[in-house]
Amino acid sequence: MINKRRFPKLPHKAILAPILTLLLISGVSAQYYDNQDLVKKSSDCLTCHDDKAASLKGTAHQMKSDVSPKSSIGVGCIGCHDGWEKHLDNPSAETITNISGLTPDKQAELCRRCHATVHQAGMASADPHLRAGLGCFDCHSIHDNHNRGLVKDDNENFCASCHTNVAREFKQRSSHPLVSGNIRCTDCHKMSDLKDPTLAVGMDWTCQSCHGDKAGPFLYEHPVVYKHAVNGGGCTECHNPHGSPNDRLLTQPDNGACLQCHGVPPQHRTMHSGLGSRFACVFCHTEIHGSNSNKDFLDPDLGVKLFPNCFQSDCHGTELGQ
Amino acid sequence: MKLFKIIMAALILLLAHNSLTRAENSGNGNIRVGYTVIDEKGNQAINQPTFNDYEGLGLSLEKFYYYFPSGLRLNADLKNITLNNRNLILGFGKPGLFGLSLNNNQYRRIYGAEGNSFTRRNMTGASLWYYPSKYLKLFGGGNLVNLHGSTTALFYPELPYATTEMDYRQNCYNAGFRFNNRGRMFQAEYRTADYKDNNDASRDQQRYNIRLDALLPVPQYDWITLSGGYRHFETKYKTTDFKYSTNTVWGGALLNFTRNLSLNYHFIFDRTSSDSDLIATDNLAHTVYITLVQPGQGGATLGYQNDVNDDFANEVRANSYYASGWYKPAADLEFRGEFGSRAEDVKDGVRLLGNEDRTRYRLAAKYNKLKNGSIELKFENKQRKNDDIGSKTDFNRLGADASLILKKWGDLAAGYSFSTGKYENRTQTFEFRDHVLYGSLNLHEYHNLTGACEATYYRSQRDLDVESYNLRLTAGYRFVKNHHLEVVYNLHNFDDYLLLDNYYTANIVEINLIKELSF
Repeated sequence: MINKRRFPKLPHKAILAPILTLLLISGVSAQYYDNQDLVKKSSDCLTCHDDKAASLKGTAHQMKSDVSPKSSIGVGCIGCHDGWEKHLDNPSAETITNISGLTPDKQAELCRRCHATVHQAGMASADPHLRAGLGCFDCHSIHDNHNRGLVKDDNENFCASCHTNVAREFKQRSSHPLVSGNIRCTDCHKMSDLKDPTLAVGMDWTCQSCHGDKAGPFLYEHPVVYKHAVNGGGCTECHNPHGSPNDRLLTQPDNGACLQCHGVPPQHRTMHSGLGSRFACVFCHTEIHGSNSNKDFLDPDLGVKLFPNCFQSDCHGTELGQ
Repeated sequence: MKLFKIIMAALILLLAHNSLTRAENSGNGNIRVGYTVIDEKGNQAINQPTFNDYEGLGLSLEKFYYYFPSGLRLNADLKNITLNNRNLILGFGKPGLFGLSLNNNQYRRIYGAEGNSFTRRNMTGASLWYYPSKYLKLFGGGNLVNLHGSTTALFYPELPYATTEMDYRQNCYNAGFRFNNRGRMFQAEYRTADYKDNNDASRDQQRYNIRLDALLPVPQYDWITLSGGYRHFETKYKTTDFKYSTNTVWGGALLNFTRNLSLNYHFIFDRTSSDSDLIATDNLAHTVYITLVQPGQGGATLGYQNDVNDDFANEVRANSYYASGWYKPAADLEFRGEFGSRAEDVKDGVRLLGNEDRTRYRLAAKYNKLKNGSIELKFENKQRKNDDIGSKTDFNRLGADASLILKKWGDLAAGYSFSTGKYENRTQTFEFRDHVLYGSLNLHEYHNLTGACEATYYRSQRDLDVESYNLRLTAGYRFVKNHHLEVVYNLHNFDDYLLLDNYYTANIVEINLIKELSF
């Protein structure tokens, strides 16, 4: 039982109620049009820019007039290109909004008219891209683009076009299979994660979604691994997920990952005749991600594998099966 | 899966026959039929790039899309349908109304030197979305992960009991809705996962996750955008109800004071409760950033985060500071810098790690001429220091990239990174010095001939002594309109100079016949 609380109980209702109330209040000043207006008024644009309509065909921004009336989302030139009224009178480049020329926050504001998503919520809070002066159009393009999500390039490692150093980590000795196309950057770096600036951690149990076998709960948790459940960290203390000069993405070879936090206990040197020096820690501590049988994460088969009396001795016998 | 392969192969044959309606700009893609031959020698468990390569006949439909006159869209990227390294993506939908996306891929990870010990991960996913009205999106899907095979122990793989059999599946499903109205958003999603371990039924787990997220431009004050949400995650064993769960509340506000100045605040609070020996942990973090931007010219951000981690035995408080900036003196020249530091202080209790400090900084300069190419230099440093346990990490990396676009001939790209790392603890030190050199050359078609070359060289020194490289040469010949023959030669080599039997060499040849589709 928890008998010591430093924080108050979660104020669920107090937080959700005002959010829902605000959602239902109208009166936001941005430009919005109904589907009829979008079709009717945008048709004037096509007199000069019919090629632009063709470039949207088949994409999420296909003009409303090009799709059947059953389609729920209306898209038209005037929905994105503000200033169209002036442009009709004076058709110069200065009178119409070129979205990619807007500041990042204005781009986000404009796209949010339709794309109010969790990704947008992230951009408006913890996402580091906005702070770095990047907007929607640094990654996405609208016209003549048939890629998923309208990203500029649909390759698995599109992010590498800016994150070049990270891309080269995938060429080290061990790495996640990005190059072979089995994963994509966004499989781990969810653009909707909100807590950590690196996006990969946070409350989405990123590693667990593929490596469920390593996840707890365990009766005896290894605190560093358990961190993945608490604040999304943990795994990366011992593994470098992009790539590593060591096997299995380990940050350090041999016992290095263990020794960065733990010294070799003196008993290992004396009682085991140097066992701690001659064997790798995980040879005996096989349940290193967590154990349901032993608080020291020892291999349940240790008595068979190494010495027959491991668990019968006073050192380990009392711990097994607790 | 055989049926799936047959359906995919039939679809490709149908396309090869050009049975779809021909209309201007209504479709595009490639059909590729090829054969791969592998000649390899050495330890198959050490060269990652070849883990998932297979010999045999491959059939692919690449980067295909087709628009039906009714507005429906079909897209497909089906690689190596007939081989075990297949990677398939298929989509169908109507823009603005509904969409269906399917994917499947397999990855083999080799552990045994002879290739006999390996695991194969099979991932299959489906997602579906539908807009019943312009304000509402319904979505759902599933993702099935299956992993089976055997792994060998990282150390002493030759000893008995070094092989572990693995066989588990994890089925995840999700469903939710998103409500949008004039820039406001509310999304609710339910996710559930069923984890089944076929070798140890006591590990079987049930997991679920509830996620609520909202985004709110404040009415009449559109310079203020609020965001917030709630998440609940729970995982428990099926046999014993032993579980842990996390509740998270997060929220924030983006205040655009002027066109140039903004303030961004967000907080996150989560509580994890567990039946394990770690009973409960609370986290509370407040973060604030202030950003000044001169559009197109430069920007600067200062940030501060205060967070508390309290597991009822230890209370750790941390203060983090952040500063970043970018400057564009000209449209094609850009400088960036970023600095962050974090100091953890154990206020209450005695945790193993004690106090810990981390710092990192990054610098970058880029010159980018869109039509001609670019050149970029980057440097980064990461440090971690923990005096209480005598642990220290120092990581540095210098990176350089260049690309050159030759209008008539093609494009050339090259990159190099040099990284050093030093990990120290009271017992031992580990140091590495890694070089990665990468280059590619793509030539434009000339007299029906095409060519490309790609190479990577990797060298790890100091406490490790590893060298690996791979080379990929591609030559193509267009013999009939929309048809070309391609021959690809791959060379892989890996040498661990500290362990004499740790070497690997492979010569891989692919011969492909490609038909370009254009509707």
